[in-house]
Amino acid sequence: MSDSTYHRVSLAVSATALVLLLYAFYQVFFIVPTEAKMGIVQRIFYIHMPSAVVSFNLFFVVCIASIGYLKTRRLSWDRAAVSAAEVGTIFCAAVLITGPLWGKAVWGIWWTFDPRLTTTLVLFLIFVGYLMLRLYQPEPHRRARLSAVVGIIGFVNVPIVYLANRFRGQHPAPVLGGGEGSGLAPEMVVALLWSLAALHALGLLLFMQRYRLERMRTEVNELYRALRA
Amino acid sequence: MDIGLKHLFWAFALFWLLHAGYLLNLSFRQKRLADELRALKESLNRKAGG
Repeated sequence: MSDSTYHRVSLAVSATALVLLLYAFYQVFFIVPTEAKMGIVQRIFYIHMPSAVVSFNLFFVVCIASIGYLKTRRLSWDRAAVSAAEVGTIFCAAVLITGPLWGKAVWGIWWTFDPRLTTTLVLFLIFVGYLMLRLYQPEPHRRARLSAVVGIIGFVNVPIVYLANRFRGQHPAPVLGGGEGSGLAPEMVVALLWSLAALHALGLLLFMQRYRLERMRTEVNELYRALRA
Repeated sequence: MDIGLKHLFWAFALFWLLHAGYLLNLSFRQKRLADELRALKESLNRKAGG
């Protein structure tokens, strides 16, 4: 993609993300009814759950890009993998920040080692490890190979996190597709869908910026090599 | 302040601080690399010219 095309796409994604975020927050704060049991704090749900979905999708991208690298040995796959991993870790951190704030107001505790919370923390730590591992491997292909393996193993934890609240624990059962007794009011579903769209647009914007950074870094390294030659 | 409202405020504030901070960090890192790229290209041109 040429630089001017990249800037046009980047501008379009930024504008879309901004509009979607503003509309999602209008839905969350002005349209959605206050939940009967938890009260106003339940609105954290509209950033907590979509952040988790965005991070899972980004870790899926890490897995696909890692497989792509291992099959083709092309470094562009590795650039996509590290970009998705870093942005996914940011969204996973948002889940781990908003969750305890919600939990303290509703359960009266900041944290408990329930299956969903623990597996989410493990997922976050695996991808922090993935990013740290890359810092200690200067050789690009060795770094890409090792981190691809960690990225694929890390993604295996995503379905475990998803299924973890089917077991007994503090975390509530899934509100969508969680079986009998689960579900949301129609206005809540609409607000949730807008939040999901808005945070996916934000995730895409951050991913594109991070990918651009990685491409620039590759270019800098190539120029250093050309200068030394 | 009601505990629910306080926690709602902090959740949204920290969420935005985290994402805005990360976006700023990315743009600083891009700026630094762009400067480095420009300097390297100039050195390479000088080397090719000299």
